[in-house]
Amino acid sequence: MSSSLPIASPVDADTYLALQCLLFSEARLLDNEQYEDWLDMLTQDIHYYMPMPSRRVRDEKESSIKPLEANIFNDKKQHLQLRVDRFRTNFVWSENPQNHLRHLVSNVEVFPTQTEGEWQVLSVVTVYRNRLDGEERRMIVSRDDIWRVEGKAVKLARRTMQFNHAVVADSNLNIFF
Amino acid sequence: MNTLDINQLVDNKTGRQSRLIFHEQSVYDQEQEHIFGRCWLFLAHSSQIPEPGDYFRTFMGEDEVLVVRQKDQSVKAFLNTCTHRGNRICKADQGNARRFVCNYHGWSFGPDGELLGVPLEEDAYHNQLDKSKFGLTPVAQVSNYKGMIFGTFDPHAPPLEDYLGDMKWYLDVWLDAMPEGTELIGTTQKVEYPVNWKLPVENVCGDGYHLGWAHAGVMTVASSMKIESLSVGNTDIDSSTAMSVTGMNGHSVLSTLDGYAGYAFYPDPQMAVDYLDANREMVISRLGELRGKQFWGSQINFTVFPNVQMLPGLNWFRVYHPKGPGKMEMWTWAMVDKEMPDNLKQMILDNVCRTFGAAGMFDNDDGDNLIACTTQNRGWQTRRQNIYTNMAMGKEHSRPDMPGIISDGLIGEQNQRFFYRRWQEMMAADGWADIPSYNNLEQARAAEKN
Repeated sequence: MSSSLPIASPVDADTYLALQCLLFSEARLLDNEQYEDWLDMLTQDIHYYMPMPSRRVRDEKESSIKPLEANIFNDKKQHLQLRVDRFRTNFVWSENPQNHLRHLVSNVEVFPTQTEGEWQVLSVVTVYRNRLDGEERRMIVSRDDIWRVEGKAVKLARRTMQFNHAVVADSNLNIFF
Repeated sequence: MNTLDINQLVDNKTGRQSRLIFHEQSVYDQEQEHIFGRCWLFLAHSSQIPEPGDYFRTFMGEDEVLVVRQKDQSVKAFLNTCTHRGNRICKADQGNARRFVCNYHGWSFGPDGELLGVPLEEDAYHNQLDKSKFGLTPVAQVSNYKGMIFGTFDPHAPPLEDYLGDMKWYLDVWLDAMPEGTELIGTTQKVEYPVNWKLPVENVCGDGYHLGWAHAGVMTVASSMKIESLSVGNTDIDSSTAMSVTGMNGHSVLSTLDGYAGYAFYPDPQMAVDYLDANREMVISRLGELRGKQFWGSQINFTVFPNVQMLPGLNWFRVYHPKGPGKMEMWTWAMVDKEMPDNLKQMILDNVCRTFGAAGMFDNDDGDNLIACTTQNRGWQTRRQNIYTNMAMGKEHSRPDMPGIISDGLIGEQNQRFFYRRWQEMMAADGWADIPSYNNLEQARAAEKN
């Protein structure tokens, strides 16, 4: 999908900056656990998708093995809401005391789509997490988004992510990317 | 404490375990030899390698193996290591191959493990290499029980069906309920924790106790049906609606008895409930009234000793691969009936990922508890303490209409006690000739060491 895009980002600087700022604001909301505000940044028909990575050889001939893609997230808004509701019960013991969490957003590129008021936004997010006694995790996820004008706001309508690790090296992912 | 006496590390009469068994390298090394070197271990589901040349890369203990479908539809398994200098010969998770070629010097092996080609065989080896002696090292025995392919490194291990014993009566509730059987769907979900491999097994094999508390957050928001035998806060429990079963050579079952609760943690279980209703009569005709009505569709935790867990209803299938005393890798798939409609299969896969996947709302509650149960043992004083699974001891009983040793209710520690008892029996024995086989209370008592 993103391999067919032009080399340079063809939108004007104002559009680019506005969308980049949206990604930064989103990162701040997630770092601050402002999950309800984050849900407000998503359209009602959001598809939030992160397949589970798997390793296959490049030049594999037609294989009979085509497993359905397992996923880390395959969520509509109701499922994301459920995750936030779970967090808000205050019974999620692994989040208490509060963990240190930072989303570092980089490699932002913005492309117009066929639809007026809608952009494809590529980015890479490094999630730094510090839990328990000095236990640190760093996870790299690349993101392919659709952001769309809805009313007076620009909202996230689709996010397809690649988790860039063969094995998930953390005991929970009570976070969003 | 250089040599540890296995008989002192676990005491079945009091439900005691020494914390050393979760920490000591020497115990772990002995597990690799006595448990992972002897037991029948899950390799792959038949549905994962349907055609000749299909392969799946997995682990038996810390040994990496390739499981390969043969031309005659049989299955062979080999150590995933070149017989020349020891390099790994296959790096992909799964796929189809006509041959496996080592990246180091280019030796190539057939799907049957035979060494096919050696570069410069004539010019450099002067045709002195007897290729027939350098095939891949095979896993001693490979066998299939209703779609589940197991292997053992021990040529003296009893046949797989004997190893499973009376557990087969329960496993058939899933594997043989529908005429076409089951399949594993979805790519492998791999998660690594700093946890001793025994702890997640005990967490799922019999520990209904932790559900209401450790998972209180998700239970509050995600339950779409009430499970009678569970509650947050230890009140209002009806223990006649569920049971723990074990004694079957260390395998165990934890089950509700209502025929529906397996789908209690689906946001919208209706599609699954309709499927159960549409097929209930047929399943009863295949498995009988008791299994068809009370077990099929219930929330069930199956554990096949030492490291396989299957939960019909929540529909996940999992293997824990040990990676040292303080680390393990957990591999999870969704398992479904082949006859299920595609949209139900997709809903189940998504729900497995959402509840017990890497970002699973249930699974994410267990990790930190199991990590700390492991890492606290770094403390020299701490690991010289004992811990106990001594809930409701002596309440075990038998029933004429079903096999195994039974305790009422989901909340108990019977299955965990028998898991550690089996662990101790395997660890202490010199070989299969010394390992007792027992399926019920009388046999288990007779096999007890005094």
